[in-house]
This record gives sequence, C-alpha cells and structure tokens, in this order.
Amino acid sequence: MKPSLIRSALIQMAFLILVSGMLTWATAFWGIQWKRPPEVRSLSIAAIQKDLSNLVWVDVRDFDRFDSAHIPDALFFSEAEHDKSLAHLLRLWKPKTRVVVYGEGPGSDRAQRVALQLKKDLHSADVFLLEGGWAAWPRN
Amino acid sequence: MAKKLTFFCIRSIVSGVFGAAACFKLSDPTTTHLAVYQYQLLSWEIAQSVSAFLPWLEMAAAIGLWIPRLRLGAATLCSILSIVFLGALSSAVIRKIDISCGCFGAVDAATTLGPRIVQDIALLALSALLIKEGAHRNREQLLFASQADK
Repeated sequence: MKPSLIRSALIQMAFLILVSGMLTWATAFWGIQWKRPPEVRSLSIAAIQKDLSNLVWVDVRDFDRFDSAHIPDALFFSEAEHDKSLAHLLRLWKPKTRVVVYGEGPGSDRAQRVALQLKKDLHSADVFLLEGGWAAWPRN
Repeated sequence: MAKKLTFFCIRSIVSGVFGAAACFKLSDPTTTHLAVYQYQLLSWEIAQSVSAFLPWLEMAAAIGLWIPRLRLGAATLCSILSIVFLGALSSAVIRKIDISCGCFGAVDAATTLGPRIVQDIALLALSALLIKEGAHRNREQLLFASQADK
C-alpha cells in the first residue's frame, strides 16, 4: 500500500471515529432511552418451590438482617454497592437461571428497584420478586 | 460489470452485518454493557463506555461503506473491528469462559463462540477484499487529481 493510500485510510477512519464519538456523546448527553423499563413479576413461595433448580435467591435487606437469618443459599445483595454485588451474582448466574429477589416484606421498594435493575443488567425475563418478601418465608 | 456486482454484494453483506449488530446493540444498551463486561477483559466502567461507543462505530463503518469518499476508511475500520472481535472471542475460548457471543445484543444470547469465530473470520476476509477495492478506487482518484493539477 502506498503512503498516500494509508494516509487516506487513516483520515477517513479518523472522521468515522469522530462522528461515532459525537453520536455517543449526544446519546449520553440527552439520556436517550431506547426501551421502556420492564415490569417485574412476583412469585409465591409455593410456585417457586415447585422447581428449585436453576434458582438464585437475592436478599436485598440490610447486612445485619441478612447475617442473622436468610433463605438457604441466598446471596446478599447491597443496593449501595450494586456493581460489586452484581459481579458476585454473575458468578452464579447463567442464562435461564431464575433470580428471585426479596426484601423485608411485601411491597419492599428496595426489592422492586433491585429486581428492575437486575432485569435490565442481566437482560433476563427470569427475574422475579418473592411475594411477601422475607416475612412470608416459613420459619420452621 | 461482474466485478462491480460482486463488490456490491460483498459491501451489502459487510454493511448489513455491522449495521444490524449496531441496531441490536443500540436497542438494548444494558445487554450490550453486560455482553462486553462478561468477556472479563475490561472493568465495569470501561465496559460501559465501550458498549456505548461500539454500536455507533459499527454504524458509522456500515454507512461509510456506501460513501465513496469514506469507503477505504470504512473498510479498514470493519477489518480492525473484526480483528478486535476475533481476539475477544478467541481469548474467551482459550480462558474457557462460558458466555454467549453478545455480538448482536440480546438476539444472539444463545449463540456460542465457536460458530461466531468462523463468521468473524469470513467477515474479516470480506472486509479485506473491500479494502483492496477501496484502495484501487482511491488510487484512481489520486491519479485523476494529480493529472488535473498538471
């Protein structure tokens, strides 16, 4: 290849990269969302217990509450340290794995927020909320 | 004429693949972010920036292939992107990371890495042909410009 051709290729590439960079910046600047956030479905304990394979429990309560008691094999998920917790979850998660998020009780806002975010992060329809939260889990 | 038609077909394929990949990635940024991150080559933050920039770069390359003045640069960019993807896919296979490709966002969540590597090699070969064609056109343009100067 002649130097003039290499120069042309580099100039053209630089132009394309510049245009892409500007579009990336514009998308981020105006916060363009391409999709509406999905809703999260709730599942009852009975429905979940029909099939316990490929299942990850995600506990979003405070750590001291998690530490004192939690659903067996549940993963502690800190909303404040979302990325770190997500990295832990990704070690267990595979496509088709069901993720069931639970908070303190029914209508837990934190569980709702985390489940919604996980649904987006994992791009999985298999993210659910535990109906009734930790309060509904049988103690005995 | 046959040569022109052949290159038109090659350009359509390469442009179509990169354009479609860009559209699918743009339609679901979170999946794209996760797809980039799951290769375990970049940190979470850098993966986010790369996943935001990559679809636009693919889109620019796809469109650039149809603009005569940008054809050479776009073909070179497609080749470089194919090499980068090939490197990432191969590294995942070597490190035995059990992930899906993520090349087309959520659409190919079930696609394994092996077939995608073969497709990437084919894409690289086609892009290389487009570089050759682009270089030929550019050389003609440069020759024409230098004759006009005289």
